[in-house]
Amino acid sequence: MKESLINLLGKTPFSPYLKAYYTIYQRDRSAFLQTALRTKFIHSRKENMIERRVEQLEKVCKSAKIYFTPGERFFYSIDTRLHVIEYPGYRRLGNLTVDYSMLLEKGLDGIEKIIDEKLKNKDGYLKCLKKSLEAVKFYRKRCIKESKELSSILGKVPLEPASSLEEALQSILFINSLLWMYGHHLIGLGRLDKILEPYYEDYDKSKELIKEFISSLSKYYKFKSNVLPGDTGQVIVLGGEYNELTRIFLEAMMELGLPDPKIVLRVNRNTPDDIWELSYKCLKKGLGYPLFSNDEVIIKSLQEYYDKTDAQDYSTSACWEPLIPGKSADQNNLANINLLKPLEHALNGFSGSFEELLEAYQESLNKYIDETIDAIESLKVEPSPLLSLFFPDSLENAKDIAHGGARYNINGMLTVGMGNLINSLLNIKRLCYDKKRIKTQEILNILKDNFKSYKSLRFELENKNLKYGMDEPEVIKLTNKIISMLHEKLRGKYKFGLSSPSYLTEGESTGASFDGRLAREPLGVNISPIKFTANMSYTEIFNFASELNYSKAYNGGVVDIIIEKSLMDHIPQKFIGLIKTAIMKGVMQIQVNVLDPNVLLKALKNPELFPDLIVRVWGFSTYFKDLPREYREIIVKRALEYSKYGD
Amino acid sequence: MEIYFKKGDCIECFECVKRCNFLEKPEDIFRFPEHFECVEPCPTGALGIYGEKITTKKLLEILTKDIDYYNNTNGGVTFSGGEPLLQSKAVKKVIKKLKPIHIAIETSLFAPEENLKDLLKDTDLFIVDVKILNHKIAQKTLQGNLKTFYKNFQTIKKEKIDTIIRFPAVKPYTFNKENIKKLINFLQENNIHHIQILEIHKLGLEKYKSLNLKMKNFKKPAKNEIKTLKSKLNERSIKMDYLKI
Repeated sequence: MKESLINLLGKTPFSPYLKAYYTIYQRDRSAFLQTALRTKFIHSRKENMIERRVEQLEKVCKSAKIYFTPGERFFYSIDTRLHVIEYPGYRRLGNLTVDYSMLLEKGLDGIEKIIDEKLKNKDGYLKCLKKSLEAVKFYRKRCIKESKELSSILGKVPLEPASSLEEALQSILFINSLLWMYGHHLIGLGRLDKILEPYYEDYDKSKELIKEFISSLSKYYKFKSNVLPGDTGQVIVLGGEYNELTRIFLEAMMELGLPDPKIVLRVNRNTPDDIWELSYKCLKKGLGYPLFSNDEVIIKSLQEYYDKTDAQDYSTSACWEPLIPGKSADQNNLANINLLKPLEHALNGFSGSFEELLEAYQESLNKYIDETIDAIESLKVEPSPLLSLFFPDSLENAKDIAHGGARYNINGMLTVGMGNLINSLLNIKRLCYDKKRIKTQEILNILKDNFKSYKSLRFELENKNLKYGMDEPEVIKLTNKIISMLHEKLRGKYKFGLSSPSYLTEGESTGASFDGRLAREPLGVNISPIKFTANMSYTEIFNFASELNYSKAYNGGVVDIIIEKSLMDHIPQKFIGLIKTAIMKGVMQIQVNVLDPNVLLKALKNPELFPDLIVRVWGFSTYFKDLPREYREIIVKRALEYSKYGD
Repeated sequence: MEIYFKKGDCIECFECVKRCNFLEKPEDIFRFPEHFECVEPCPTGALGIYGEKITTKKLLEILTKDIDYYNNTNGGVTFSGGEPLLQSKAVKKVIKKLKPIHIAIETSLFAPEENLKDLLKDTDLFIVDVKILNHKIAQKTLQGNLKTFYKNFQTIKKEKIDTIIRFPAVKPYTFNKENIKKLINFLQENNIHHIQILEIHKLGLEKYKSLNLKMKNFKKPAKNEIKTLKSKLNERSIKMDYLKI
């Protein structure tokens, strides 16, 4: 409704501003007026969209206020007042990672050389890139004039190639800050242990530098947060191959104890023991990271669209969806497919066998997906000459990444409610077909009634029967069947995954479901049971998850478990063995929340008394106190279930 | 198999009463302990059955699901109470197929010798519960024949199978002067240098309630009594762990 109002107002000359104000409003309602008044809009009236975007970049570089405190090792300044206006009908790129290795190897001067050489024969877009690069260089010049100290910090990088770890880190920070100011969100950092390996110095010096680098990145936490506080998308991907920097990053993050940036750790058969142990320590500290990402499963699956060498270099977008840094302009989180919605339609007036019900479901799912795709494709992608500067293929092709300049442009969707759907279907099979107690035609009435007159039935649906997350052939087969339906429909156009942040928001707009869920209640979280009960165990969930067909569904597939702190303390080797085995058996990704239910219950009553309590939500770690109440409640509810039955 | 009723989980939907003509309210189920089928309609699991009849084949199927985890975490399978020795034929069948997974059996050793012999070959560890070491009292309180216990213990010892001794410290049943003295003698005679003392707990309280049974209120020894026991044991170079839940 609000969106359509915005679209209508979009026809007026004020429209870009209205959208901007609306965005500001959505991000922090309470501080709306305050933020809106101090906001500096970056606007351009140029006709051509690319030129408009170049001008916006120039304006950012000319007007950004420079913040630098003398004595700081790294310069990392973001003028949070800037708001780069988004124009109606366009979608801004974000949620991706540029190729910092090119920046470090060549410097801005080297990148300019590439552009200049190509400019000899061509015109057009390359000129825009050149202008953009000049804007960035102009910003650097302004910074140098600001203070003597800054002129020495930025004396060499980012113009020249980095020749030390300190220079490399500074170069990354400089460009990263501009990406944020230019209005791109959820900007990942890529495989920093690999990228920085050539600049590794000695252990202690490197660690000190990395710690300061991380402290810089963790600044402007609120400004960077997308929908929820902490949702910054600042993912550092480590591992795959391992070096001293892998260890240093893990140690530094653990010692700093910050929720942001976050770490995704690529694991495989060769992951060294001490890396496992460091991960255990990080998790035990309650930081919510690293998230474990299974190289073997992901690299194999990615080859549906990606070249093998590129697949091996995978990193992730803001949560966990794989992409290739500097090569993928993939927008991995374009839409959420709520898998319960098509079931409602399929049941409408349905009579027939269970197999026919599945066919009806597939038909209605296809329709629902078509509508979703239409909505996505009605928007054009906004060009970004700044991002394109750090996508080598974009320079080579002389094309913006918004227009296919990058090597890969395979967008992705997320699915939510798989557990609710599977449990609903299993219940329908049991009650309507096996026991013949209820007719399929009655189901919609029961759901519309929100179980008011069917109290005991609701409990039965919730508690009895096979459930999503159980290591039972029937459950696994049915889940893989739905995965195949999705793949059949989306193949060749979109990727999809099995984890989504929208379990709460989608739940709010979804009526009661036949898994015993009441209307508006949250949907299931990732690949985890809807309810963790006495007859489930960690190994059972992992066994279930390892049987899913990730080669079709690899745009994120996270098993989300909670372990009680006191249990975790006593079982370092068992915990590592558990995760290792799960990975070896083929679980795609694992996220672990280590929580103390007693602390959580107290914190739920008085969040402010626990200012340092960190929890993991969606794909990020954040402070418990900063979360909206409904998110806090879900975490506590799940933590109590796992604490009672987790073994 | 035993029927239970957890009052806290009951939503008073009376699905059980509708099914069973003998019930007027769910609690009545305790008067009909054989009415297993009347438990089935309960939607919340307030009424249910403890224990399950399972074939060795099905049990093996469940246990082998996690075999990779056992292998990678130095884990294994432990058969515990009831008394696994009383089902030795079935246990034997299962553990033979589980090998080379580490197998532990937790037992009171109050079982016929031939049952123990069924399991000797494939068991890696016996966890032996020692409770009361006075023949008469053991017979009366535990309905256990200590002669059998000693004989079985010697059999395990002869086979040189790993053993852990566990002793629940319950006042006054096991934790009294005479019994402690006998315990120490037993340990010394058998050259045992490690014992796990278990603190009593009330984890079974809800279960007792749900079976309409009263849980006896056992007393645990005071801290200094445990300390004294520990130094007594240590003097005799016996290591003691006090396990709390």
